[in-house]
Amino acid sequence: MIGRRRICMLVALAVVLAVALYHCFRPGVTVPQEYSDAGRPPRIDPDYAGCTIPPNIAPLNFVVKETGAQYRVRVYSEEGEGFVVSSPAADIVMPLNRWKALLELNRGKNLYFDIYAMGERGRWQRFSAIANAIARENIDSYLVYRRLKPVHTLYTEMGTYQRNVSTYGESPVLLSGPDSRRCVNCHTFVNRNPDMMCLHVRGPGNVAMILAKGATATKINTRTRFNASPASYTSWHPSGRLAAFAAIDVIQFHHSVGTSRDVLDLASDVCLYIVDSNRVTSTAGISDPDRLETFPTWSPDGEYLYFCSAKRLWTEDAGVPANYRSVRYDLMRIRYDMATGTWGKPETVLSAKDTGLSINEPRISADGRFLLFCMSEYGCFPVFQRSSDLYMMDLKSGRHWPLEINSDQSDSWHCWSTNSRWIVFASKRRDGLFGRVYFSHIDPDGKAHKPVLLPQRDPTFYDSFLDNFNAPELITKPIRIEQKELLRAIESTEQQDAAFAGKVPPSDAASGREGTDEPAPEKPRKAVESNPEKAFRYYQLGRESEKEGETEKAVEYYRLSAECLPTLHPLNIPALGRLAWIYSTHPSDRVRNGRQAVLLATYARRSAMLQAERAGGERVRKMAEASLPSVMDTLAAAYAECGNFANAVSTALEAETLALRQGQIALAVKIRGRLELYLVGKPYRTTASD
Amino acid sequence: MLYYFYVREFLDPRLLYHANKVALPSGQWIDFPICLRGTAFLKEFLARPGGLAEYVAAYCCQYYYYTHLGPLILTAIAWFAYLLTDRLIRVSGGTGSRGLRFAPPLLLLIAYNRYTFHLENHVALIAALMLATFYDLVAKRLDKAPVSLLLFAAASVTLYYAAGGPFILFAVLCAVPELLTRRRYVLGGLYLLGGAGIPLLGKHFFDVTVADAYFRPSGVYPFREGMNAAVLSALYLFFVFLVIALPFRQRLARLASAVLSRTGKVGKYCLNDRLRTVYAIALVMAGASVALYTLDEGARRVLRANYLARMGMWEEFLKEVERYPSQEYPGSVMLDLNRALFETNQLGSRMFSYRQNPYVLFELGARAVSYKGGCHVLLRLGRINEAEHAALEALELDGERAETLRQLAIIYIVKRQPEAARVFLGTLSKDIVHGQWAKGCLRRLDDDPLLSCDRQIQYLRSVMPLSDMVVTSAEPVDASTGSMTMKEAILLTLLARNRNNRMAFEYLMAYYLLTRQPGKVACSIGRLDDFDYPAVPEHYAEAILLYGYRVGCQIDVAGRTIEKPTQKRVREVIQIVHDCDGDKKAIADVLAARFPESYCRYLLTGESGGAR
Repeated sequence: MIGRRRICMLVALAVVLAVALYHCFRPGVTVPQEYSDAGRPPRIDPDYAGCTIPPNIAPLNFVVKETGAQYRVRVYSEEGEGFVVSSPAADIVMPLNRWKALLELNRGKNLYFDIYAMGERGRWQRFSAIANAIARENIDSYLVYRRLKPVHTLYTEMGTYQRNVSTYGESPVLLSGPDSRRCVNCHTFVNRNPDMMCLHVRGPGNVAMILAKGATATKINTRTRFNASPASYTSWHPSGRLAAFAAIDVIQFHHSVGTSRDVLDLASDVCLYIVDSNRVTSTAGISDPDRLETFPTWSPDGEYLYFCSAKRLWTEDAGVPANYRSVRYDLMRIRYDMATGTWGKPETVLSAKDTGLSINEPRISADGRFLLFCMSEYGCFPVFQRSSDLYMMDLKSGRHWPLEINSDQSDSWHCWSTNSRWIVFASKRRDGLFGRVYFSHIDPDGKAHKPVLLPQRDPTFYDSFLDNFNAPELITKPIRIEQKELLRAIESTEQQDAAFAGKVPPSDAASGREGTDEPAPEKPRKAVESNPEKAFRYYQLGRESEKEGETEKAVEYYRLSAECLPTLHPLNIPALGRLAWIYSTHPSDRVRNGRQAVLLATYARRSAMLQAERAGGERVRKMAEASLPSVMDTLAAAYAECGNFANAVSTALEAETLALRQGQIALAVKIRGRLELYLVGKPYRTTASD
Repeated sequence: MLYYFYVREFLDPRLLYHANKVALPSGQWIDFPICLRGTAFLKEFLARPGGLAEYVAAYCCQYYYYTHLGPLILTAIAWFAYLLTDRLIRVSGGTGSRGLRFAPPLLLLIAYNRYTFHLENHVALIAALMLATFYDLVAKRLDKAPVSLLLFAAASVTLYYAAGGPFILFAVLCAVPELLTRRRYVLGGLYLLGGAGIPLLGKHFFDVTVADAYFRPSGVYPFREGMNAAVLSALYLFFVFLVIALPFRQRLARLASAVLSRTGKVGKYCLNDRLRTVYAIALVMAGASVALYTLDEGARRVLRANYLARMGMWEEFLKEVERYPSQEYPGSVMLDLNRALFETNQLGSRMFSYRQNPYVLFELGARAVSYKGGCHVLLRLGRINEAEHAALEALELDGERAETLRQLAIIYIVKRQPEAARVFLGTLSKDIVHGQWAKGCLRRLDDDPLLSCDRQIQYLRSVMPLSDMVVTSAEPVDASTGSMTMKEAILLTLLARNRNNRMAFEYLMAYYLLTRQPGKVACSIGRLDDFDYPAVPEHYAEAILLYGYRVGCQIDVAGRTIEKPTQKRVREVIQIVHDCDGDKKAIADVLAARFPESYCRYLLTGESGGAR
């Protein structure tokens, strides 16, 4: 019995030994000697062809998108032997050490992939070699990013991770689980050194900046009497003694067509957080109540604070303003003397008026030569804008240009390496939905080379990975602070409340800036004296002229009628209404004037509402009430004429409800007809039958 | 067989497959595990003690989808529990107490009956019992303390890593026989120490909390309430009781036997064997009664309704819903109810036969009562972006579930973003049940990236809006009516895009009815011409007549006539209102008695739902 057991054990040991020996001394895989030439390069995914790659990057594993029963890939360069990878599947996974040695030996040279695929009858086919350039300069060895699902309004699962770019090692810096419902965002480092960093958390009853120095973390409340919103988009001054941040009042919404999600800052200011004194300060130049300032970033010498600024086109913070698509940010900068704490005057570096686009996320290279920024159609959240592209500005000449590497999807969230030769950015170019991290080499003239997708051990990783990579930041060494310490600080009841230092800046202090001003609509002329009879007569003449098709005459009569009475006089409602109707719906472009129509219809509505609420006489009150649906209908038509279909729809719905409440079913049906036009983005036009 | 039959016919594990996050009448939620093929998914489980048991359980749970396999898995678990208990009884010397082997399967059945059980609790328990049995077999055969200790150490580490907390039961089941039967006190003491200490090492090694190190995934956490925890606690105590009590019982039996033989009453003892059989049968009967008594009928109803809705079996869904009082519908069932009424062409004529709530006709954003149902309704309506938002929120809240991934793939194909659809299909291809469908879909996308020949995709593209509109769920809702301009605008946009979108029309009318805007029903009735309605649906007719009465005019019903019984009913309702002279309670009582399923009742009192 024991003898048999011993035999079994010996056999098992022999098998293990044989397997180990085979692995140590197995013959090297070679490329096939007999093959046919495909005469074209193979398709591979990710597209690692023609790229410039960092010499310290992890192996670029890929999938061969060509049919075959077996694959061999020879990886080689000018120096060294290279190696051959053999795979029964199309997934090509390269050995880390041999890859590293090959790249190290061939800095500044080309790296080639010779790909062979075995066909059905066991014949090999060789594809043309794929070449990638190996840059001379390393990229910073660690990358910090957020990983989160495409919708991140519920904060159930997200985290900040660090990744060693030379291997595939990824570890969490701070995770936010479903129980915490916490948003973790805006990780930033002093000069790319993780020994001093900050990040922000937002969650139920827990909004704070976490400042980490070495291995300890402190929780800071950056909200002060000046800024009701907490810090975000932080940028450290090179000295590490102060950090600029944006205090934003943000709203998230979505569109019914195209890219679903969108974000808008209803209000925002830039402030400074002074670490030593735990104070927040600002100046009128970066926190004008009439403007939206955001995305601060320091110049590497610490003399200038660059930021983005746009005119605030609304007065109320309720809901999504109708004109949100008109918000375009300028690129500004302001001098700051850290020794005295004094500010210079804000200067426009690049105006949205000149570019026609909204400028966001400025980041300056470490050598101070280039400024990289995003431009998109509107607003301040380029990651949700398909139009967002990366642009480079030469800070010596002031010239700017789009990067050749831009895609037709959102390219944003970029940062520079310490040696200024690499940029990292998030792009949705693979599928239009998921942000992925790309590296691009920047040569001394600011030219960007074909980017490389962050490699993964599993070459099919991106085919089924449902998280976004967001806000990638390069750092020179790994983050040492433990997650436990960060969580302790976050969950701690103790926090340092920052105090605001200085006066709240007056609204008119910031001058000399360009914005996207729109001229105020012309106000109607005011009546000199009240003359109801004359007004009525003019109104009648206007109606007759309108019936006879003499619109211009009618317009003039209605204007005269309106001038005979105070603007909000109850008898003025019909004339204002008719005038607004013609300005909104007339078939001729020469006659229509949407903005004037909105103004007149708004006066008519205000007058009708005032009379309906306060008029002493029952008859006047009833008349005003009865006129309200058609006045609202006119206002909706005016909004539609101005292209403000959101307001047109809501006003028309209100008009329809009022009409139905008053039993004006015929009018309600007509309003419904017009409403259906507004819903598909068309204004209403009067026809002969009207 | 009986057990299997009961599980298949009464419990029906299929109900659980689609039920993640479904709220039960008891206030609890179903928490159904996800399982995908591939090392990336498995790796997450391997990073914690007990993860392997959780993975096995999650894998097995996916087979609940199939009518026969789900019951088979649950029966197999119970059968293992039965066999292992039987073996434990025999080795503990309790041959005369073998009726007790039925206790664990019955306790498991009680847990299954609640629908909120977690299979990983049971898998981990079975693993602990199996290893304890294995240890006992080997230890008996070798009978050497060092070998036993070595075996225990190896089994402990393996079991703790694979099954987590239930390892403690294994340690107790190994220690007690050593202490009481084999009298190896040092060994027994070491086992008990190991049982207490290994989880502490696990805590240190795997960086988990103390509670997780000791209890996950046993399901027996200290101070945790609920039937599951109670049943599992009972199971664990039962096994501990067996190994402690049976050796004593054996000694007592021997003592009794000796006494009886001395007094010459052995025959009587033999008679007790028969009594014991009767006792065992009685035990089974009692157990079966307890099992039937503990079946959570309320949960079963909700889960069955949810299952039928997810499978699109609308006729059956309505029959199921009609079987229980309307007061018991949770929001998710109400959402599916209106969808079922629409799919069976009854929305305009029978919706007030059920309890209604204006807030849950269809929903936007994070307030949704049912992401799944909400997403399906939005997608079917043609609101692709809103369906996308709901599905992405479901992905964030519920994880990578087949239903959500499938929805998202369809949505992105409809939006002409096949590359994004591929990412979701890539994940879905790792699903155990729907993987093949996803692979097939990926192949179809290779041939035709826009799936331009697919009828469902074609239809959705024909109804999806083309003009942009800002949608926010933050819009205030009119508290008195539940109306929300955004919802109305959303439905109107769909009709403006495609006049023939019947679902948009019926939902718009249902929205007007629910928000008590009969005038708008009257205003929209002209649209009946766009569809093939043979007559004006009953609820629309009631709304139009009541509105006409209110404003004092006759409403044109698109050239159709309103049926006489409806006209008569409305006249009677008006008479009732006059007769009651504004007494709201009296009106409500009379209408509830005479016209319980009419729109008139809902409009005047806000109440609906007949006798059901």
